[in-house]
Amino acid sequence: MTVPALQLEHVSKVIGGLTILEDISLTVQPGERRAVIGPNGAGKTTLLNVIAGFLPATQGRVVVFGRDVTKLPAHRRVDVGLLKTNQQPAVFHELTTRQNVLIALLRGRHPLLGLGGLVERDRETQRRAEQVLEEWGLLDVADVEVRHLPHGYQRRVELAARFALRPKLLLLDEPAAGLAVDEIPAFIERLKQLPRDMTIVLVEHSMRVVFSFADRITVLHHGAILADGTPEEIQNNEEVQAAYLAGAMRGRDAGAA
Amino acid sequence: MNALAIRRQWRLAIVAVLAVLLVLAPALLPTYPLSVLTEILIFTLFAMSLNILLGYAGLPSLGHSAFFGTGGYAVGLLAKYYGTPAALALVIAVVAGILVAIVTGPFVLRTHGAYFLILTLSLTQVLFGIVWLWRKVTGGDDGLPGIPSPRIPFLVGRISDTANFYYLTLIVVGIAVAAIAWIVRSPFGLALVGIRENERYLEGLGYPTWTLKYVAYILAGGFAALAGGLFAYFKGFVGPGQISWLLAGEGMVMVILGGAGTFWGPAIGALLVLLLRYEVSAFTQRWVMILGIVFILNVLLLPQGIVRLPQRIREIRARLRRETTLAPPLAEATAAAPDRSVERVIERS
Amino acid sequence: MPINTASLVIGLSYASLLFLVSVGLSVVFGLMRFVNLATGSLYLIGGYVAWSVARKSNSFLLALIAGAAAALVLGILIERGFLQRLHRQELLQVALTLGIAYIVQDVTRWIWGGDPLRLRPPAVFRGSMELFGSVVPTYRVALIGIGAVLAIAVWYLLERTKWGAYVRAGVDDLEMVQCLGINARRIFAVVFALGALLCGLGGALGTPVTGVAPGTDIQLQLMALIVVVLGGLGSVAGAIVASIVVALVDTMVRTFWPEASFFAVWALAAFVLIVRPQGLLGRTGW
Repeated sequence: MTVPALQLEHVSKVIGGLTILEDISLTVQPGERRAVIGPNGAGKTTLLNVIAGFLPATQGRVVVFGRDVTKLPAHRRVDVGLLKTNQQPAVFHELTTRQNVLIALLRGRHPLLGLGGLVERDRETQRRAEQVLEEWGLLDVADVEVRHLPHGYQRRVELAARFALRPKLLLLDEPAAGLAVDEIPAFIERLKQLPRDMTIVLVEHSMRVVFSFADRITVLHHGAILADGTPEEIQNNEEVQAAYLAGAMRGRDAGAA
Repeated sequence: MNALAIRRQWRLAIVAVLAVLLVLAPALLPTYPLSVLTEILIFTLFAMSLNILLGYAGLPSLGHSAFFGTGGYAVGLLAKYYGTPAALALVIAVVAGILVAIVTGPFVLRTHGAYFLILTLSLTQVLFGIVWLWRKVTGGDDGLPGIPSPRIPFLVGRISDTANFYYLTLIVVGIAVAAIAWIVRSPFGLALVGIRENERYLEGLGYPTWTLKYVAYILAGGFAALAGGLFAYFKGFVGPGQISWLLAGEGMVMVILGGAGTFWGPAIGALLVLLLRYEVSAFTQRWVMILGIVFILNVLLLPQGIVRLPQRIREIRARLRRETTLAPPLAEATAAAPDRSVERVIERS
Repeated sequence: MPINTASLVIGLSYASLLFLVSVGLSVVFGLMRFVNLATGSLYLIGGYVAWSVARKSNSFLLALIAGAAAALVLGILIERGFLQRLHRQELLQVALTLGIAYIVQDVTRWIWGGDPLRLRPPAVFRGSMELFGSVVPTYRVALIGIGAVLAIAVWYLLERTKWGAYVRAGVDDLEMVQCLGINARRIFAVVFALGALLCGLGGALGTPVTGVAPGTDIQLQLMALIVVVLGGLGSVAGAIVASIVVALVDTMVRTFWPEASFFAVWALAAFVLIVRPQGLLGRTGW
C-alpha cells in the first residue's frame, strides 16, 4: 500500500474558546485532487492553515507523506514538499516579479541562511528564474514591482514562485477568487494539466472549478466533516444539498455543476 | 535593460569618484572639516547598521544606540583599565555588541511594530541607567575621558593626527560598509526584504523567518558597536550620551531621510543630518526648526528618501513628457499585458 | 519612608496628566496604526498658551479653554495637512511628526524662551488641605478629580455610545468597518482632534505641577509612549491602568531612589513587554 500524501487524524482547532475545526480525519492519496468545500465560516481556510503549519492544531495529528509534521513550524513543512497559496496572492508587493521568483528559488540553496554570495552573481539561479518567468508568461513584467500588476498576474506570480519549489503537496486556497469569469475555463485547464505526481488540496467557492477538477470532495460544515466522496456522490448527497449545495448552487454558477 | 546597464555604470563611476575624493580628502580639507567628515563616516556606518533592521527587515528599532554605546564603553574600559591596543579593542567592541544582541534578541523579537519600538527603547534606557548608576566602573555621567586616539603607525609623522585617524576610520568603515553591501545583496538580504513585506508569506516559502531576524539583529548590533568604538576613539571619550535614545532617534532619522531600505540612503541621511547640525547651527540659532522643516519637506516630496531624488526627477520628467507624447514603456507593458489574455499565457505554460 | 497619602496623591495626579496625554495617542494608534510623535508638542502648546492667557486674563478657566483650543487647532492642522496622506506608512509618520515636534519646540522656545514657566493654580485650589491625616496640595487633589471625571467621560464615550462602538470596531478590524459603510476617515479625524484637545487640556492643567519648558514635550512624549504600549494599543482601560501604574512607580522611585528615577519606568516597561509582549491589556496578534 502506498503512503498517503496527507493524513489528518482527529484534528481540532480551538481559537479563543471557539471550536473552528472539530475532529477532522481525512486521507488524501498521492496524486489525488481533493476539493474541500463548505459554506462561509465552515473552517476551510483554517483547515489549510493547520495543515500548512501557520496555525498549530489544538488536537490531533497532521501526517504528510508518512511524516508527522504536527509539531513542525510552517517553514520546516516546506521541506517535505508542502506549499500553500493564499486567498490574497502571497506575493511581495515591493519586489519585482523576478525577485519574487528568485526569493523562492534561493531558499535552501545556500548554507548559513543565504549569507554566502551575491544574488546577482548566482548565474545558475538567475537562469532558472528566467526559465520560470518564461514558463509562466511573466517575462514582460519581470522587472515590474508586483504591486503594479493586476490581480490575475499576482496570482500567477504566486503560483510561479510555489512551483519553482517543486511542491509535492500543494494547498490552494480559493485560487479562482478574483479571476474574471472568462478567465476561469483556462484556469481550470491549467490546473488539470498539473503533473499527476503532485497532490492537490483545493479550497474553492466556484463549483465549476470544484466539480470539473476534483477526484474527491470533502464537505465541511460548522468545522466538522459533513460528507466525503466522489463528485457524483456529493452531488447526490441529500444532506449536503440541504446544508450547502442547494443554496450555494442556486446562488452561484449552477449551470456548470 | 540597456538603460539599466548604463545606470549601473553611472553608479559605479560615481562611487569611484567618491572613493577617490574620500582618499584625497585630507589633502583638500582643513582640520575641522576633516574631523566633521570623520564623524560623518562613523555615523554612516551606524545608520547603515540600523538600516539592516529598519530598512531591510522592517524592524523599527529605537534602541540602536545601545550597541553604539556598548562598543564605545568596551573601547573606553579596555583603554582605561588594560591599555588594550585599538585593533584588538575594536574587535572586542564588536564582540560585546554581538553579545548584547544575542542576549536581548530573543526578548525583543517576541514583539512587533510599536511594541518592538518601545521594547528596544526601554532596554536601551535600562542600559543607560546601569551605566549612569554604576559610577565606580563607568564613571557615571562623567563618562570615561582620556581614551588615547589610535594612529596608523607608518603614517605617523608624515601626516597630521587628524588625517591619520581619518584614514583609520576610512579603512574600518570602508571594510564594514563593503561587508554590509555583501550582506544585503546576498540571498539573506533579499529574504530580509521578504520579512519586511510579509513575514508569513516568506515563512510559507520555507524560510526560517525568526532565525533570519535574529541574525540580522545580531549583525546590526555588531556593526553599530564597531561604529560606537570608533566614535569613542574619535572623541577620546565615552559617556552615557553615547547610549542615549536621542542618538538612536537620530540614527532613525538619518535612515528615513536618506531612504530606508536603500543601500546608500543612510549615508546620505548621515551626511545631511550632521551637516545641518554643524553648518546650519553656525549661522543660525534656528537650526532645530530648519531640521524640522527638512523632515517635513522630505516626507512630503521625497517619501522614499533623498537617495531616490534622481529617480523622482526622472519620474516627473517622464510625466511631463507623457502629457505631450507617448506613454513610457513600463506603463505600456503592464497595461497591455492583461489583454494578451491570461488564458493564452496560462496555456503556454 | 512608607507609602503615604502624600506620595499617593502626587502619583495619582501625575497619572491624570499621563492619561490625558496618552489616551488620544492610544486610540489613534489602535484605529489607524498611526504613530504620532508630536503628542508631547500638543501638551507643550497647551501649557504655554494657557500660561500666557492666564497672565493676560487672570482667569484659570479661560487659560484651560485656550490651551485646549490651541492644541486642538494644531492637532487638526497636523491631521488635515499631513497625516491624512501617510496612511499605513509608519516610518514616514515618525519622521513627519518628529519634524513637527522639532518645529514646535523651536517656535515655542522663540516665543516663550528657554526657562521653565509655571502657572499658579486658581485661587480655590491653592494651598494645601488635609486628607486622611496627611497634608497634601489641594491642586493635586483637584487634578485627580478632574482626571477621574475625564477618564470616565472618555470611557463612556468609547464603550457606551454608538459612535464609540464604531471606533472600537475600527480598532479591531478597520476594513470591516469600512465595509459597513462607515466613514472611518472621519471617525479617525474626530478621534485625532479629541485626542489633541485632551493633550492640550493636559498641558494647561499640568502647568502648575510640571511647569512648561523646552524638553517637557520630550518627557511627556516618552511617558505617553510607555503608557500606550504598556496599556495595550487602542485600549482605553489599558491607558487608565497603565497611567496609574507608571505614575505611581515613577513617583515612588523619585522619593526612594532619586538617581534612578529617570530609568525606573523604562525598566518597568522592559519587564512588562518581556513578560507580556502585547502589553498589560492588549490583545495578541499585533
